[in-house]
Order: sequence, then C-alpha cells, then structure tokens
Amino acid sequence: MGSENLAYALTQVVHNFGAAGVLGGAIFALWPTPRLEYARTFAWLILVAWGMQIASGALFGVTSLHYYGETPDLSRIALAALAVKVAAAITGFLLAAFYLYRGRAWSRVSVKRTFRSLAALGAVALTAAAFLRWFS
Amino acid sequence: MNRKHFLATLALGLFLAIPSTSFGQGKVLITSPVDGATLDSMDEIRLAYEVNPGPRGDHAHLYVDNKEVAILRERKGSYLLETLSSGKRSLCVKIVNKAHVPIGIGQCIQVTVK
Repeated sequence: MGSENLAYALTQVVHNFGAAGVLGGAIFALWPTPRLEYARTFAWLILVAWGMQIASGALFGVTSLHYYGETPDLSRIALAALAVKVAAAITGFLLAAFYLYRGRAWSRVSVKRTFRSLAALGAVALTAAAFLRWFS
Repeated sequence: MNRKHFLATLALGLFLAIPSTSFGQGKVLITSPVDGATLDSMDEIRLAYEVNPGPRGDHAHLYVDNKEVAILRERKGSYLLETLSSGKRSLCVKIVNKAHVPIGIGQCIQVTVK
C-alpha cells in the first residue's frame, strides 16, 4: 500500500505544480499589470507546466495499470470532464509552443490575446478536474 | 554514482515495484436483492449493501451490466436503481481506490427482471 500511495502522491505533486503553472503563468503575465516583456519566459513556464500535466495525467493511468491491471472506472460525466481536460491540455501545450515558435513577430495585442486564451484553457482544465475527481 | 546512492536508488526502485495487491482485505456484501432473485420491473428496486473498503480501498462503485451507475461513499446503505429493463441483469458493487480503480474486491449478483 505504501508504494502505491507514494506513486500516486508523487504523480499528484507533479500534476498539482503543473496546474499551478498553467494558470499562474498565464495570469501573472497579464495581471495585476501586463508583463509582456517577459512573455517568452512565461510561455516557457506554461509549456513545461502543460507538459507536466499531460505526463502526470498519463502516469496516473500507468500507475493504476501497474498495481491493478486496469485504468480508473469513470462515469459518463467524469469521462466528459476528462475529454475536456485532455483537449484543454493539448491545445494549451500547442498554443504555448506556437507562441514560442512564431510569437516574436506578433503584436502586443496578439500576445495579450494568446495569454488570455492560455489562462482560459487553464481555468477550463482546472474546472474539469474538479468534475473528474468528484463524478468518478 | 557511489555505493550509497546506488543502494538508495535500488531500494526506492524495489519499493515502488512491489504491487500491493497482497496487503490487507476489504469486503462487499450485497444484502438485497439476493442472488438469483426475480424482480418486478414495476416495483421500486433498491440495492442494499455493506462495504468495508479495507486498507487499499476508498469507496465503492455500483455497476449494472458492467456499466457504472453510482458512487457509493457510505459504508452501509442502499441505492434506488433506475428502472431496469426486462431480462437477466448483473448487479455489482466493487471497491475502488482514491483514483477510482477497482482493487479486485467486490460482489456481483444476477437478478431476473420481469
């Protein structure tokens, strides 16, 4: 039991810090005052954080498979929440990557819009996570 | 890597690699309906249960024909099933861990709905 709980707990640590990074990174790039001169640094933080979310999310499944040979049993609502969360994570990761790849040439307005979108994706993922947790 | 680091890494690896399925037990008892019962689809069908999640379990899930229909967080209680269509139906209560993974402890019964 100890190893199982430890594996889940360590995965949860990565997942939680990822969640803090995706939302916090986007919010603090814009609020309380825009810090777009550091936009690329924030984008890297957000990219890594989405990567942590995706990797640790998959690791939850792998941990369950390792210990019990099956993945979590999810209700319809929880499955829908998981689909929303996965979609938000992939979109967020790709958007942050796209900004890092092409964003140098973007206008200030476009950069702001990108970070607003990243913040919205983070908020959607965190909201879906609550439904996934309690409707499973 | 020195010897101490190697041993610590090895110990952690072994600790994480040991599946915990052999530790501790829980128990599920479906007290009503009884296995093999014939139920009237026009009647209210309530499943009564008792669950001891054991050290590895957290709560239980209820399944009708292998489809999850409810989360059972109380150790002892009952759940009003939605109208069951006629025929043989499988009702299962399975203990799951905090990640909602069935840990291999549960009870299933078969009922016939007419």
